[in-house]
Amino acid sequence: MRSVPDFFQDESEKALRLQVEWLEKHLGLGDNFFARLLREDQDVFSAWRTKSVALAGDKEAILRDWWRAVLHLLSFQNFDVEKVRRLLEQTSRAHPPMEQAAFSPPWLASSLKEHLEIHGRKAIQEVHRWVESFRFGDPYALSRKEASCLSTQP
Amino acid sequence: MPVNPALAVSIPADLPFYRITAVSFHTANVAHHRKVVNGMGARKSHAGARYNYGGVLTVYLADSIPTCLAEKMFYFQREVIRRLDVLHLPFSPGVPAFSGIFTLWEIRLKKAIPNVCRLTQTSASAVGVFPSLLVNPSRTMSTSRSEGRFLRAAAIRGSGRPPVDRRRAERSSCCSTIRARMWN
Repeated sequence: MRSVPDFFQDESEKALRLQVEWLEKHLGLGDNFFARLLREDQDVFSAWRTKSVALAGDKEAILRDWWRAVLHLLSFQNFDVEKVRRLLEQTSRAHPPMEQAAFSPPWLASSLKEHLEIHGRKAIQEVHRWVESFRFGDPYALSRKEASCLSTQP
Repeated sequence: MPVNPALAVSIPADLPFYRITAVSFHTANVAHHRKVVNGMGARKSHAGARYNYGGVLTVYLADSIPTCLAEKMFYFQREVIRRLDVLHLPFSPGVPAFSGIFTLWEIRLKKAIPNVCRLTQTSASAVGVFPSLLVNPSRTMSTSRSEGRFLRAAAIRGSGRPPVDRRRAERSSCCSTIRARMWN
């Protein structure tokens, strides 16, 4: 029976450190990535990992948000860690603007990893929304607004 | 969120109910298992979940294993089809897995819970839940439009994809969409 370590669902600070360690080991996200995601000095973040300092403000909450997004991505890719890693790192070529297309990811001009580093917490929320768009709700709603030629809504 | 009184029932304690989740809920420590039924997934969801709007605390349980599996199959297949729909786009997350590993939970309530909305085939339409159509004409049109736009721009920029006749590209896309939906 397939299961996961307890820290996957634990929300304590100790578990948060273990989650970061797992992300660094399995998804190749280093202290540099986390420091940029949190808008934090890298030395401070590294010191937090070794328990010598605390993180300021809501930065632990941001880390928890990111862990929850990673759990969604893992589920989205059937827990294939390598696929999630590729999803984080792949960069698509420049292409036409497709903001109105259903399922457009928010990181069109860069890799997901770079997008997270640049936009921080806002990008995490966008990842949640993008993954959810495949599973729930009506992802075609935006596209349908364009289809003004339809006389009735489906 | 109030439950339509006509659909509200009380569910007794100690009856088995079922739920399927991602394996990420399956930890050795049983203290974490209550997250399977705390409703926070629906609460934190922007898009909402199966039958609730986003941000609404909601717990779904099935009263039989076949119901639970059938519902999971529907949403799993819908997600696969949505992902197949965007395979032609440069930002596609890749070919989806055609099978998945999940955790099936048996849930027993410690005490009876009143005022629960019971969805059945006869009551579902009363809360706006309808069977999915095989082919949604507007969906087909939006797929064609997005692919056509990409192909046109790619051809103009010379970015690697060969110039393709717009009408042929759109017709091809329509056919693949219809086939996929009939397969579902």
